[in-house]
Amino acid sequence: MMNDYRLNIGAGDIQKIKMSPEEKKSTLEHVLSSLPSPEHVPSPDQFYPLFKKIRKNRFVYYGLMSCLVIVICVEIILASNDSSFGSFLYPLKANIIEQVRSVLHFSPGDKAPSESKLPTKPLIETETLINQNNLDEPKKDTLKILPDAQTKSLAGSINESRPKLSNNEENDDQTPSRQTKINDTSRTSEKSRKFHQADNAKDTKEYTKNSFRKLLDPEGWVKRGDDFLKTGPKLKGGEVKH
Amino acid sequence: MKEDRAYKFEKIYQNESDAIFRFCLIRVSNREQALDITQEAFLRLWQSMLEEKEILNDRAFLFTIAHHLIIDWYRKKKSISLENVMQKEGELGYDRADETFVSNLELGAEGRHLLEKISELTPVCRYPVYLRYAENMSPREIGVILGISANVASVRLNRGMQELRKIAGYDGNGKI
Repeated sequence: MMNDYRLNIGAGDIQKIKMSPEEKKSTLEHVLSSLPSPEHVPSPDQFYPLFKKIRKNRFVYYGLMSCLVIVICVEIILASNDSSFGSFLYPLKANIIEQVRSVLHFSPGDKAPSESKLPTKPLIETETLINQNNLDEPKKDTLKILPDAQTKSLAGSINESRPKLSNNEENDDQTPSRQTKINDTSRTSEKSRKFHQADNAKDTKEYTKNSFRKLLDPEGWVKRGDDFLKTGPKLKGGEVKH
Repeated sequence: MKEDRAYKFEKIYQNESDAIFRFCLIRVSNREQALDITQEAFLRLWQSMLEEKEILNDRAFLFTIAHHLIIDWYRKKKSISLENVMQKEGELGYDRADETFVSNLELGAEGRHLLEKISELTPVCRYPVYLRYAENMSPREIGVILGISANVASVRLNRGMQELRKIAGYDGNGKI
């Protein structure tokens, strides 16, 4: 303790080394007079001062940047939803967003409505392209493949749900409806193929408008699928299972 | 706005100028040179304040600037008289405090003794011990000034204190 006392006295003595008041004053004057005071020149850019203020506060800066990124992502997703085949956003829509949507539907029951709509989309897009006179050979080739692939995907998801339902005897009533759905899907695929076989015909546009809408009736087909999934399988005795 | 900055600067100057001057004086053993380095350190602070740079710890900032200015001053000095400097230890580019200079300082006996013994410590431990006991700095601040982590500063401080207690007779063995 005694030695710490001596150490503290020594430290106190060292702390007594100071500048004289004159030295202190002259040094301060030198420092303050050595730099010219910067005149405030208003920035021509009105956003820069605001941006500078935002950058100073890290929390606000990172928050704003995160919001900006989220807004940009949402805008891209919304823009890609309306994109047609051939647009630069179309691959994003077809390869990422639709895949993510199908992944986010966990149960086969949830997955079926969205997948049931997929095979009709290329046909609608084909119609749009024909109306716009934008359907060229590479696009035709790609559009030929899409309905088949999506039909297979839909059939797969229906098959996935089948074993689970077959365990329940009460769900036997669903089988004809499901069979109808698969038949509808096959028909969609078949008609798509026919459509592409007829692409050399002069009246492609007429063919699409008349025969596709009437024969395929995609909206009606989708509606039937939706009704089925909304009401659910009918049980014995007329009950509706939700 | 500028008045606010000037007021803040003067406040920092009143609080820290003696500590910075003392730190420089003990290192360079030359009052005029110590005043020059002190002035330069405060000039850099004032410049940074005018440029609205973010300074988290004014004290650590000033000591860091002073530390680097002293190293620069020794490097220049080395290039002028290399032979003289080579004889002195210079791991961090510092000289030991000049003994005649220390004896000329208006210090109490304990202060002079402590300063001499701190000068005899190894350079690695010398500055952490000085900053801790003469300037009441935390290991974290010492770390910032010397460019090392707080843990390393703490370790060096402990080793330096053991060494100092031994050579200064603060360990109770009655060497003094």
